[in-house]
Amino acid sequence: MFNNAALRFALLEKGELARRVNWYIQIRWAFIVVIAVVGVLSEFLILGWSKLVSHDVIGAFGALAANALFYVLSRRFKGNTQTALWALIQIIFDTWLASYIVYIHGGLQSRTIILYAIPIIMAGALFGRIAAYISATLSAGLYALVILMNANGGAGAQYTHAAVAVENNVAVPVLFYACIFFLLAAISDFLSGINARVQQELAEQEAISLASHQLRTPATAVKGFIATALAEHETIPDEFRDLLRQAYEENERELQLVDLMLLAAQIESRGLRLHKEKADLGQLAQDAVHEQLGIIGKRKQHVKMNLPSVPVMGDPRLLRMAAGNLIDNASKYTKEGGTITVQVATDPNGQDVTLSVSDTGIGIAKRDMSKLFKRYVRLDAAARMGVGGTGLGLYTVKKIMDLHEGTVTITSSPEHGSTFIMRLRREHG
Amino acid sequence: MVKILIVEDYESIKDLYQKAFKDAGFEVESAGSGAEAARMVNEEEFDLIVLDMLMLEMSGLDFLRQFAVAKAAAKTKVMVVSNLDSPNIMKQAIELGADKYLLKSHYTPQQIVDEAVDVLKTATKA
Repeated sequence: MFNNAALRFALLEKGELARRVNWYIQIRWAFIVVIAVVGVLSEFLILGWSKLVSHDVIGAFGALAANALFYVLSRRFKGNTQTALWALIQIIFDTWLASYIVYIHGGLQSRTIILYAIPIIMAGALFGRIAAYISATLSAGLYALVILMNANGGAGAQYTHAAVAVENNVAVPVLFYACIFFLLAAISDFLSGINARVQQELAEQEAISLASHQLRTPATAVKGFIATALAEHETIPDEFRDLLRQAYEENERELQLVDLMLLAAQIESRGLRLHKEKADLGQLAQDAVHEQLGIIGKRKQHVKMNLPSVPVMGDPRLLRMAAGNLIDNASKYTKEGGTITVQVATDPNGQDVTLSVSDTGIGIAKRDMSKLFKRYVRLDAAARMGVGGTGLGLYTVKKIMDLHEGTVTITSSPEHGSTFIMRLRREHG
Repeated sequence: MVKILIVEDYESIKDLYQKAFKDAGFEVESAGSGAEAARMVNEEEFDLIVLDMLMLEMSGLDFLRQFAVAKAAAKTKVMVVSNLDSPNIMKQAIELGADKYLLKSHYTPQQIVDEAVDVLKTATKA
């Protein structure tokens, strides 16, 4: 019955609902124990043992027993509908309990009204938006009833301040508190909304990871077979060996493409998190160059490197990917026989470190510069050259540098080449 | 002889790893799921488990959860080799006692063996 979509109750997944119900019970343990201890101590200190059977103490021990019952039942019956049923009973019970406590404490003047907040907020957390408002309505109704009972000489009348309530108009404060309850429900609703979005983003990220896993696995097997064949069969004729190497490199490019698309998807779903550690930018750049030496050699391009060891604080995997994208880009837009220069240098001020990738390629027209780091943008010049690409490479470089609070800049002269510069804070010590 | 257990449900990758480890002089056994691996580790002791994450029947994480209890003071090392690179799963695997987490597509079988040798060299965690 709780799955009825028309009611728009957001019934959580089995594990999540059980986890939250568990939290609910824990929170209540804390509340009840505090009330019981304070109640017993104050009654004992003020009135002595003989008067230890006050409403507070009876209520607190009753609540302890009820909470223990919910605890056992929640563990005994673990089906989703059963868990939802216990959760619902607990919310109704707590609303009733709050009303009882407010009633015995004199109603209108009692600060115990704060207890209504628990079931209202928990209704939102356990059953979603609408439930919080229904719980607020129930609370407001019961509260109005309690005030009326007090005003007519109920249990609360034993307190002197209850007499005040009898003389005053109770409608205004009841309405005031009803508004407060609805405000609480709105807050609970708002938090549920945020939580739902976070859950959805997490689900999207898991789906992206899963999809890339499926894409990578067969290509990983191909990589393994070719690498094993190349390593073990020295008698393979050179011609076949060359074909196998090309197959290996193409397969590597496919795997890199999956990594790049995954990265872009993670950036899109804001699921990309940095795993920062102290890293050597020179070494990372060197690794990135080595990963691409095969394709660069095939294009008969030359590589110049000046990569001293400079420490930075960052995510090594992402920085290597960013450097790799810049090198891949430089190579793609440089003709045969051209030169790619990769350098790491510390700024004269000693604060920043730069990784620059220069090429002697086709360069970039001024009007195209602003488009470069946008997603899925491919320039006319690239299309004319017949260079393949995803339009994601420079976009991800920019996003990676943004996450590192760094920058990526470009200087270029059409027909002479371009220089891309990644700038990061240098790590000291 | 150093004894390795390869837990991998993708047949061709399992065969490749098995061959690479055997050629490198290791004694190798293999399992096609976390559940099968869980049965095997109960019966014999391994120096290193090469563990995939996403498998039918019992995932690598579930295997680690079970194994973490049994492992306690055991000397077995665990190297996760998976194409799943969700940071959340990586973190959980390391917390559950994996000594290393490698993204499978970045390594050839021979490089996996090299990484395993590295893991075996490092001192057992307290």
